[in-house]
Amino acid sequence: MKSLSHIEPAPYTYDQNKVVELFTDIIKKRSAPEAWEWLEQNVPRGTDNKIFNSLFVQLPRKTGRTIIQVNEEEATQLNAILPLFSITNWPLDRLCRVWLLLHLATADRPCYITAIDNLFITAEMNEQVALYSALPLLAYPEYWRMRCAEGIRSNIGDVLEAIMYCNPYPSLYLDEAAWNQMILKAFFTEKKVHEIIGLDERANGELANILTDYAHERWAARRSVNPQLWRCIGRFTNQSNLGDLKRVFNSQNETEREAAALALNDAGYAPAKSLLSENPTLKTAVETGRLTWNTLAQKTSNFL
Amino acid sequence: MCCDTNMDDKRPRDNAEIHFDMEAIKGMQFFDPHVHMTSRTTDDYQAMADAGIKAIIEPAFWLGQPRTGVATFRDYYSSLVGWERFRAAQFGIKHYCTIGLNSREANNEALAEEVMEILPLFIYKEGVVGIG
Repeated sequence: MKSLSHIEPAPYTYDQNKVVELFTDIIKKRSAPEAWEWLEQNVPRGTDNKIFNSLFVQLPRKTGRTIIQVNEEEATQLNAILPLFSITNWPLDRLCRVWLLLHLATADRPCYITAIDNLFITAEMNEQVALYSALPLLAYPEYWRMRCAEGIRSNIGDVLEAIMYCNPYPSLYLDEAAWNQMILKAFFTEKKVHEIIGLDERANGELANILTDYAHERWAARRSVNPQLWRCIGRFTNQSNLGDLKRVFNSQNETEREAAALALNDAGYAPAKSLLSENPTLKTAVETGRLTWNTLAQKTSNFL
Repeated sequence: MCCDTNMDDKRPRDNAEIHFDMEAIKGMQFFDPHVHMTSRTTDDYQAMADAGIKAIIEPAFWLGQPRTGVATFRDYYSSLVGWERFRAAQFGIKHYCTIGLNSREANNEALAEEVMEILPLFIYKEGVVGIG
């Protein structure tokens, strides 16, 4: 029997053909006939890198930037293959660039990786957005961990949002330190954290400590704290941070009180449950599902 | 000429203070075809936006300190088509640039050759309006 170590990892971890098919259909329906013709004629079948680079760069001039609205059927088809991934509100050129990337030949791993790395290191703003959006779709997904962590260092809002919003890659592949950095940066740069996939599932004790420290710094400077921050702390409520939740639970601001109630309800720590019982109205709202992190998110999107 | 260091040329001739009358240009729109924003602050962007500047061209230039590797050129060009465009956009200013190798830096021939190799990666980027 052959050793398993000789087996190459599968380049794609999802049904890539189906995604290409779906994207092709979406793009074709939304492109001007001449733009589609250009795309169809020029899509390289994983040939020359220089041609590929030039296509990637000039693509928006051909396709334009119409904003894409995906219908329910298309969204369902996409999410059957890639849960939670969304391309709604992408400009057409962004989707076409991602689609183009899916045509690169993957059999030669080093060659494939070098081609994409070179696109990253010379990318302008919109190209970076497209490349980071493509992370969950690239072959050899485990390779792009460092690239994703590097992208989180960007200060360009659109680039950060391409990594953070509706992108399943970070939660699937980032290690804990990089994940925590992303979440802290999301709060720090006032992003809509509820659009981050895996926000609840990847909450961890270290992140809870980091965010508690961050909240203390904000309070010391008499600045507000995004109520969604307590969402990442609830399950890790303990003796040392219960005081903070108590403070938020007694806040003058209704949204803050609601966030604290949700966090206390998430906690496994008994004194947290007792604290929640002190406000029967909020306790009932949480227990009946009238108040959830999602309903709160609608209220907090302007709370900054 | 760009990057000269003779300060005497830049001082007002009679040492009189120059007061710029913003009212005189109120409502006008300007295009600055040669400005190196890399060496300018956020305040400068704000002042430019306030004065009615809508678009600029930033020619790639010589930083003063000789660059010793192709990677610093690549990062510099990337910042012209990336970060600087974003920074300008925050003030409603359209940022265009020209990409090239300044002749003052071309005398390190080996390095200049490496830079010429990477130029094609940048010249078709969005916002690039010239090559030099």
